[in-house]
Amino acid sequence: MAGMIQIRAVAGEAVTVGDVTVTPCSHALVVRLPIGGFVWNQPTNVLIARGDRTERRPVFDVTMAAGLAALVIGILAGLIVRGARTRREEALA
Amino acid sequence: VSDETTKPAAQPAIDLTAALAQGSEQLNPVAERIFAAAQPGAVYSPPVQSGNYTVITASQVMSGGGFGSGMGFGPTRPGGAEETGAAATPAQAGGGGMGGGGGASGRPVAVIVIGPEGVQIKPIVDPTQIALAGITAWATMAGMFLRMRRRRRD
Repeated sequence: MAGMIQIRAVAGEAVTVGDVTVTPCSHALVVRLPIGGFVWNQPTNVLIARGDRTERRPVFDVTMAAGLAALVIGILAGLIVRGARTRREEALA
Repeated sequence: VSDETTKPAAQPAIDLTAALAQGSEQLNPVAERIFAAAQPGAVYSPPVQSGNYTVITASQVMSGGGFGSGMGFGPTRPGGAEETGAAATPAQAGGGGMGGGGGASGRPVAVIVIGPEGVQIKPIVDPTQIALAGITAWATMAGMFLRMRRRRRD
């Protein structure tokens, strides 16, 4: 099972511009099945090296975060309204 | 006569298996193409230089696929074995097939800009996708409430 599902941290080819070297990194979810497979590769961060200093900056997926937020808010709103209705009906009964 | 009928009929089973094995081998490069999306080169574009600026696009990449094959054997016609008198080894015919499908999608997530101001990571916002996610989530919730209301009324 562990061999079928893998989460790999992969570093891309470093790009050097002047005194700055940028190394892009990503996380890949790889599912290998005997009848096919699935890959989801998501950029995670960028390593910025300038002289002796190395900095890690995240690559934030705003679209995915906003989509997930909309989903979570929708579910929470549903649960809150459902709870409020149940309480009101119990109080009336 | 019955021996002559049964002997050549056993041959297609071997040929079919070999054909399916050959087909599976041909599908291996396709599978490798699917898994090539796990490489960092699939996520980050080659750097593009314009004046003092170098730009790299970071994208989210998804790919998947599946394939399958099957084969079956049976008598050439119902009751064929009895007619030929070869009850132990009836004349057989077979058939097989294979197929597959797959897809890939990519969406730009951010742009990495290397310039005189330093390195900047600028996120790419897709309002259409956000709106679609929001509408789907809220429509599902609205549908659930309507169903709950109807059940209570009933």
